[in-house]
Amino acid sequence: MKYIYLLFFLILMGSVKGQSLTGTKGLLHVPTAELYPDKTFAIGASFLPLPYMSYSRGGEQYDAYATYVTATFFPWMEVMFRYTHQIGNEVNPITQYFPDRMLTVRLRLLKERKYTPAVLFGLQDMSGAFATAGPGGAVNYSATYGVITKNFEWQQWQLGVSAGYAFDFLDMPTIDYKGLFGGVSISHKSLKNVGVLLEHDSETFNAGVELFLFNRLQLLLGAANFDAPVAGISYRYSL
Amino acid sequence: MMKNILFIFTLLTSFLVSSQENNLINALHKDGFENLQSFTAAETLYLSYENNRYRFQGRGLAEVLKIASKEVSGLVKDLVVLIKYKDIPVTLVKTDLETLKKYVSGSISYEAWASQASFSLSTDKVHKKFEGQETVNSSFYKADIPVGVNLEYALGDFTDGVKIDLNLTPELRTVLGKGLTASFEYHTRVANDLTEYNYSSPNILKASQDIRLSGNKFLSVNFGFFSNQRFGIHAKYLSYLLEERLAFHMTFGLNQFAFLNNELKLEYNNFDRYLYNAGLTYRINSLDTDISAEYGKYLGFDIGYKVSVQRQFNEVYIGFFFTKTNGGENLGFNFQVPFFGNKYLKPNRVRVRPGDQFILDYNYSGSNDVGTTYSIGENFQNNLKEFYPQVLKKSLKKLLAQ
Repeated sequence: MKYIYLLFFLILMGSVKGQSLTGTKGLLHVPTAELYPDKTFAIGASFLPLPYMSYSRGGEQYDAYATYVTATFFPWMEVMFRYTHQIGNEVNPITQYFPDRMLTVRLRLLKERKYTPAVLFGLQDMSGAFATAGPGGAVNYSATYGVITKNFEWQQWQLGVSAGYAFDFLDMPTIDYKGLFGGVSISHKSLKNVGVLLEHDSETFNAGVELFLFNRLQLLLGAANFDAPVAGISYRYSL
Repeated sequence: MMKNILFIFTLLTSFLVSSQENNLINALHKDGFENLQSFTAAETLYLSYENNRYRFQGRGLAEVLKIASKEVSGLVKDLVVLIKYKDIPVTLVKTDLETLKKYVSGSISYEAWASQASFSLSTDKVHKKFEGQETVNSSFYKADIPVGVNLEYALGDFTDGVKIDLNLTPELRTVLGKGLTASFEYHTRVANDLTEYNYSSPNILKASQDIRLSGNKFLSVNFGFFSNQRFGIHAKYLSYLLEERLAFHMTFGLNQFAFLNNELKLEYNNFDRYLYNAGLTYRINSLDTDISAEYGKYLGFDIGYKVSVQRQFNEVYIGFFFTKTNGGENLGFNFQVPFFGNKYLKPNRVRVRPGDQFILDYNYSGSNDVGTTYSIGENFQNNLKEFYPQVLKKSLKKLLAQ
């Protein structure tokens, strides 16, 4: 089954880079070191299946979906606020469940140049780093990482390569990514609105396709570990 | 003979210039601009106006400059525009008229026009020159009825995840004189599981006097009922030290808890009446971003400080704040977005329009009750950011050229 997924993704090619399932700019699940232009806003939602992208990657019984707002607040800083909802779980005194909130800040330290990659430092679900989660607070998707991205062109093909490393930071354990991660986006100039994404998110290999419509709407479809479907939709707007 | 020719030439020139001024004022009046004044001196046309027609002040200025470039011809070399708000001068714009015409027609770039234009908050000298000039289409004694939406919320418990207090907020607002505003805002409750006040009620009933002092200083004095059931006086002093780049602000409230309950009985206490704060705001013009720090005593009588970073995207504001007082700490973000419609109906005896802004504070972590304040409603000083020289100047890049 996983090879059928892979074949399907390799058939569709293009050059676009949009919101990852996480809500920040990235590939399918892993972040990249690129940001949208200054003053760009994106709202979106994504489906995060068990067992690969659940709360703390294990122990939960529910698939989840995330809803987020992301902004390029400064030309060098992206901010994302997200709610993650467990599908089918109810907010009540018995379940003691409440949707997860998270704030992510990503700082681009170096812009990509002809021979050097873009370099970015990210704090995902950052409240844990500054002990502001408070009593009973939770950091289910926290990660601190550094990531680099470099784009290459060869004939009509474009290739974006990203690699990063996630680590514990202050009081915040790295949960969503652990150690090395990376991936590529592949696109062809004749199909500018379509791109293929292949990545390793430090635990599983994932693949996906992204499609841009009207220069505003992004659709993301893929498979985590080649056997669990993931999907995302986002709309972006520049002020 | 030579004297006669010179006399006739002078007479003809002043007639033509006067005719241009009239045409300009008529065109601006027709478009809904208010408090219009103009005169010509030494090949410079001086124009003052107030925009209550276009939602964004940058758009209002763009319309004025478009009309001026069309109505004013070669007899005038420079154009000086004084922008007013509640008849108080706020921002001064100077431009060479010929260069403006070229930019509006699209024959030169924004950069070529902007390099010779100047924008400033320093209006004292030019404002004096308008003294004695006739005012056309006064903004006084007109009733504006902005209808907005107010949302307060808090994360609840496991029985009620999010508690909200949602209100429609029609307001009756009128400017009675220079800087003098009367305002009555009513909260029509749409949904509420957040507060105990589960009925529609007046939210703000106040008179406010705004004054511009010399040297880019502003004073605002407000009296009446404010939000959060406060009754009394609220004063705010604002001084721009380096144009809009650095501002010192100070507020003082002498007010107490008081309100009419749903049986129209007065409930009140005078537990503590003094609230105050003072701080500095530094603006990074290249990013339209304010970095603020203030120290004071807040509505819960807690004492402490607030720091914030807020970016302005023309009419949209998004910011982050951190508050720490002896009542606890709070980290969160806020945003302000305008309601629909770039252009309102022309100001008239009575005008209904969408509210000014939808404002929401989101407390990400910490207590909701830390560093809280009451609202005095629509406020001259809070609205000055749209008049900032660099905000206006940059907005014309998109809004002015054909």
